[in-house]
Amino acid sequence: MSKKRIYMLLPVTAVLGFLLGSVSFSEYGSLDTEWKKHQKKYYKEQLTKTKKEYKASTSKEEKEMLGKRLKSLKNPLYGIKQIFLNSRTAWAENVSGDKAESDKVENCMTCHIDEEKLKASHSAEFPFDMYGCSVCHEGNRRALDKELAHKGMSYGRKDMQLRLESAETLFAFWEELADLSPEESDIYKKVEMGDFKKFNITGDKAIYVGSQKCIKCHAGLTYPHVERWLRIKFKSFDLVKKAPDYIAGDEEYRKTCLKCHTTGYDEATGEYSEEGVTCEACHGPGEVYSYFMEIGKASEGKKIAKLGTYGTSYNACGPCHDSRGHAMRLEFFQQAKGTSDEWFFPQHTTPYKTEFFKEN
Amino acid sequence: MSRKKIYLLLPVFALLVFSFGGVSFAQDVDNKALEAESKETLTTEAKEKPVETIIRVAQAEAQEVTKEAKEKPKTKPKAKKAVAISGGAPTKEMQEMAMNYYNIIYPSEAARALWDDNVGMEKGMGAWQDIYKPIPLQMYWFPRRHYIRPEGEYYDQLLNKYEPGDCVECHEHVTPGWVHDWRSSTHANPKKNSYFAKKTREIEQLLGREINEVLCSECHGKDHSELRMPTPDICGKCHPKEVIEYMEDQKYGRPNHIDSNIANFIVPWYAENARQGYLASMFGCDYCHSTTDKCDSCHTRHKFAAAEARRPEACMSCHMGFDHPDAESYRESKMGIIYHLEGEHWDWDKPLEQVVPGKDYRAPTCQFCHMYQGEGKFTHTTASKGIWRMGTIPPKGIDYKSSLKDYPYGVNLPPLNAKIDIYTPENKKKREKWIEMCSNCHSPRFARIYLENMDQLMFEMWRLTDRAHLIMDGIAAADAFDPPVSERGIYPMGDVIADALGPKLLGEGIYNAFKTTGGKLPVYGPILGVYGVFMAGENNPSVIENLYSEMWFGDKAFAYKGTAHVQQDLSWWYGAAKAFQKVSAMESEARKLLRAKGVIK
Repeated sequence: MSKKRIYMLLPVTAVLGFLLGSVSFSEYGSLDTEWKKHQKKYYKEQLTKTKKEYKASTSKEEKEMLGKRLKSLKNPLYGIKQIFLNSRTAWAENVSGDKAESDKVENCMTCHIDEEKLKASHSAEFPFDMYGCSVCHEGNRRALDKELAHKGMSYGRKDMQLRLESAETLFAFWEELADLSPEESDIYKKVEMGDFKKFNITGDKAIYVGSQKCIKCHAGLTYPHVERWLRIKFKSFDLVKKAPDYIAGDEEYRKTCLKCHTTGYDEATGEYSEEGVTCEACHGPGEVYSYFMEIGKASEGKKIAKLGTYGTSYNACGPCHDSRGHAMRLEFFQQAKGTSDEWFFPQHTTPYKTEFFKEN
Repeated sequence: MSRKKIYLLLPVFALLVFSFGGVSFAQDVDNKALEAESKETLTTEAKEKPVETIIRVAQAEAQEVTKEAKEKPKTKPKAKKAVAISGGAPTKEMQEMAMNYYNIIYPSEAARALWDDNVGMEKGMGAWQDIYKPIPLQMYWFPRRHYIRPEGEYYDQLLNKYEPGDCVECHEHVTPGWVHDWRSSTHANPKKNSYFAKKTREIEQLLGREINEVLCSECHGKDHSELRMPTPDICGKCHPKEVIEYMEDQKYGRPNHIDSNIANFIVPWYAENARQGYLASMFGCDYCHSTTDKCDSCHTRHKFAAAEARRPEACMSCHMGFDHPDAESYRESKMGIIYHLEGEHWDWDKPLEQVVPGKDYRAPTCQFCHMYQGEGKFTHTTASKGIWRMGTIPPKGIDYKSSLKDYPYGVNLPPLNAKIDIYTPENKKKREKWIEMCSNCHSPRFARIYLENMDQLMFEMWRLTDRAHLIMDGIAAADAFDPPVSERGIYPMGDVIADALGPKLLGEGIYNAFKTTGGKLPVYGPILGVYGVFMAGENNPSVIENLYSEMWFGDKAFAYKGTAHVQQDLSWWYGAAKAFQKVSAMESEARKLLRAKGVIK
């Protein structure tokens, strides 16, 4: 090239070079991506914390373990943290890209890398490491940019409740939970959508609202069903309280009775919502469907409450109407021969007493 | 130059320009970062000041302690043996539990030594018991701890005329008020109608003897040598169900009727006022907080009429005023107005379970709403449906910009040891019970929307509190109090609070802060910062601190109760509006302080 041409090139190079340099060193071209900044911050905090623990620790094994941890923290591995959620994977279905709706991969933890903080902000037994974040929180699960990832996200319980416009949202939520559950090898134990009936859209267990609330409207609306159950099933615990083995039994024995003869019995705490077999014993905790009915969307509530429809499982009967359910009673009465013939002429059959046993 | 050289120079030149561009922008980025950082602190000088660093350190440590506290596994409290409260007659089991009242509400010997054991006039109550001596009047508000039997030789003289057990004959002349009051009570005529006769028969069965009248000796002791002030354990001998229901209050955490005496005496400003000689002035505190030891606050002595206790006025003597305008808000609400106009004709003898809303009561009363437990049951457990804790504890769910983010700063004095989460299953159940109660007269959807709106209002008021707290953070960070914290009076009991309560209750951060500064540190905001409206130390608190206390403790309470009891004027003009005005006043005051400090021009 001629000298003239070269001299013309100079300013062009200058401008280009300037632009290139400024862009790459400005925030747009930063060497650190957004998520890396979060991870750097987290590892730094962990480093100071571990250093403190190391200084404070006294035992040799602890110091050794902490020393190893310190070493790894000094040179942390930055990277995108992808979580593969259990579901049918894309390759098995021969689809890819956006079409692979079932390809559930989450990148949330790339920025939200502080697991302790996550555990602290959810309740203690929350299995969010099994189901991931986006089933409850929504948003764009694969995005790495904060705004994009948080678009359409539900931040907390209040936001999630706002999502609950119709029963379909809840069903879709339960469906996804069933989808994400680990597979059982036993096909009879297959996890279905209806198994999550007890969960509200916030992921908390739905609360029991009490039969009083239902009866206010349903005494009129579904009279035959309510009248019969009020007369018989609601009072089932009264009969239990009179039973000699309940009176003689200790707390452990009584728990075996509470399991079926009360509504909303929680194995873990031993507490129950109501005595007797009331509405929610079969229809499940009423928080969500009673909410719909209360605010004027009764048809949505019906979809959730009505058993066996819309995909919710119908094994409401089996857990209690189990032929071995009263086995512990047989043991009691066999040992306490002669105290009562209650086992053979049980009180609860009174409405159905046949000619055979009618009192003269 | 030769072409070759130019060809060489081009890349060098490019590199130079490239790096020049990079450096100039990088610097800009750095500058931006610096600017952002400097905006967070008001002045870089403030970082050097000792108080500031102590607070920062304390906050950082408190953060760590809070994290630790959250991670520690929650220890399950020992399960109490549940006594089934049958719907019907009182049982021996219930009687035993009720008469064991004091051992149950103060479960450990240490607790009893602080709150229960009778010390007469020798010591005070609680952690500060050695700091002050009680005044004689406190004998009557806290009889368990302070009551001293009256002695006097003239009693012996009177005993020449009357038998020691003849209370009524003597007192009819000496104190006619008591006797005639008692004469009109059900205690004097327990079988006056079929309703009371039935209840008396149940108690007769419990005690195993006939009851034709309940004489003074039943509650006060057989004669003056055994005289005592009746406390709930004594009432529990015949009325165990009610006492057990009353005791249940405690499990819902403060504020409740059982822990009221603890709430009164455990706070350092009480002890500070006491040791400065202002004990009598706190009569107003003592008398409301006397519900632990007394059952006659609602159904007064000696008539003890349940009909009286069912009227809203029974609650109003205490439940009114600056920090909980329950009486004011109820009285002027539509519910209260209807009660005022028509309440005279309502059937007050009817037990609440039998009251038909709309027929027996045209508007709800305090008791009808607050004693409802769900499933048609009404008991003496009034705290069971409380969610917002009187509006004094910050809630979760707000993006706090101020140091309220770190509440409770490591403090472990329940219920001040965590932010409240109004969406827990327990709180949701309470809300369902509220909606059930409101649905007696209102549409359930209306009830739900109204109460959710109240929640929203509380969240907004807390956001406003956060804004005010941020102003205080700024003043504290700049050490702009006038005079500086290090030169003014200490926080109440600040010199002993660290040792009296210890790091387990105060948290490491705050314990260290008190220990090192001897109480010379700024304390503002929920809840220990409320001291400012209880006492006047030396230049402590200052105007801005009291503005803040009044705002979050007083005005917010008006906004809360005005909304809860549907008294719109109280909710706005005496509540939210006042809160806004206080924030504006705080901002002006802050500017004055910062200008005086030289932080702003």
